[in-house]
Amino acid sequence: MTSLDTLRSDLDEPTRAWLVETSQKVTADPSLIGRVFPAVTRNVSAGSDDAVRMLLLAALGEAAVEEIPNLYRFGDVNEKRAILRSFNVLSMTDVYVDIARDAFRTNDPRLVVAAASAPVVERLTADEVDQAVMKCVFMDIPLASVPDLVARSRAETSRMLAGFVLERVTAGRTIAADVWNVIDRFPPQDLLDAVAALQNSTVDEQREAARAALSLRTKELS
Amino acid sequence: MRIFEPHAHMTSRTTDDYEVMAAAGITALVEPAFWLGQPRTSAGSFIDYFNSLIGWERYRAAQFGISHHCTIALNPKEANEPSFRDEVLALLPRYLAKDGVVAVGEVGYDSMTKAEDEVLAAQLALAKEFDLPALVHTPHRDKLAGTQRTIDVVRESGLAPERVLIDHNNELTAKLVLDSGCWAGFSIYPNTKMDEHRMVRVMKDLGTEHVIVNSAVDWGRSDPLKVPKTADAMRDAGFGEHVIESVVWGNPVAFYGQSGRLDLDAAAKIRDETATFEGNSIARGEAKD
Repeated sequence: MTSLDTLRSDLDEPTRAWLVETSQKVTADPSLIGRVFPAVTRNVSAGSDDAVRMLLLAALGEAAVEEIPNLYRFGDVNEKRAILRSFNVLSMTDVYVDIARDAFRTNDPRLVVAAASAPVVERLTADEVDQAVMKCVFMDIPLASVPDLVARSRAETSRMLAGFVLERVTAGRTIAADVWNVIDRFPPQDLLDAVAALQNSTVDEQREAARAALSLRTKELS
Repeated sequence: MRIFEPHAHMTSRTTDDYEVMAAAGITALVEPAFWLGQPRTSAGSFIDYFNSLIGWERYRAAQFGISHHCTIALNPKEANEPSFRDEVLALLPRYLAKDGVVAVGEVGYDSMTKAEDEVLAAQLALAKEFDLPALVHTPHRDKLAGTQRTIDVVRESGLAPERVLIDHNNELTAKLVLDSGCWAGFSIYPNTKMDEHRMVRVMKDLGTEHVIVNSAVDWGRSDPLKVPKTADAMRDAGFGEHVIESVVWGNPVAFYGQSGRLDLDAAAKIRDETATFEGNSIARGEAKD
């Protein structure tokens, strides 16, 4: 988790200068944020836009919680991502968790990952965590990108993922190795037996898929 | 040959269209904000539409290596709806400040009403304020009169003519537009309004300077490959490769580049940012060659 100071110290001079000038304008008149927030990426050095946006939101102080919903609603992906990441450094509130829920419903992996920040994940229900983990798996998002979701997974999550493995193997399709990290937290034996049984399937694709899936598990365990 | 599609309503097209466009060499496009085929009933509908132009369509296009840009405006038809007109105009500054928004458009006339007059003038003023070029749609009915009126309003606005693209021209309006100093856009359709063979004749008569060719592909009968097909027709008619590339690439890049927001690497950047999420073959347990 980064602090505001770390974000600031990583900026180069021209970017920092632009940030200082823009923050002053925004602090004097918070309603200007709607004009400057979209323009950040093209006005700062490459790779600094998230940090600058997060610092601008921090500069809003108490006005942040009023301005953020509209900034998110009208934001492009870069703006939305920065807002979601800013929840790591702003004071948390239910309004922000609802914004993260919106991001979890999108189909852009950048937003789904940014939504899974620690402060958001700790406020989700267990059902929501299960669904978010499954969504990441369906979108081919590496689970290492969402460690806080994985840390909150439970027996039900493991069961859902094992069911997913069975479904894929039955279809003769592949799985990503990292699903085993979650399944093996609470391994559901009945489903895993069903996967193992497919190693003796009369359908070639199922046999191969079962062997491939289980060989990935062995690699993860060792 | 690199190809730029300057006018494509991708929101109404399937992913198959992106695939064939990419295969034909299209690596960048502009999707202008327009209407949806039937009237909207609220400003909220515009918000969600503008959001999809800067969000989902940009992402969808990137999956095919196409750098998607858009224009934003209240379109001529819906300028006539009093219940949301002011609210939509008030929203535009949020979007005109964004990356990838390369012009104010499509603005212009549909039925030549007073409301359309006011909304066109207001949006040309926004183009000046945000230092963006303007994309102007000419009416399909009574086109010559509509085009003349458009040129007059552009002149009154104080926008430099080279920062204005007047689109959907035909043989009768082309010279008028080019003589005004504005860029002239031509939408190439199967059979109706303008086709690639008529376009070749227009270019033989008037040259290729300040000429923009597009497919204006939308929910109606239209063809997302009309720009590459126009290039082919030019080749058949004896135009050199250099000139052809200037029409299907150089000209639209020059016009929209005036926004300072054209990013021809946008698709590659999005692919890079989301590449780690595509699941490489090793992680998915597939055999490596």
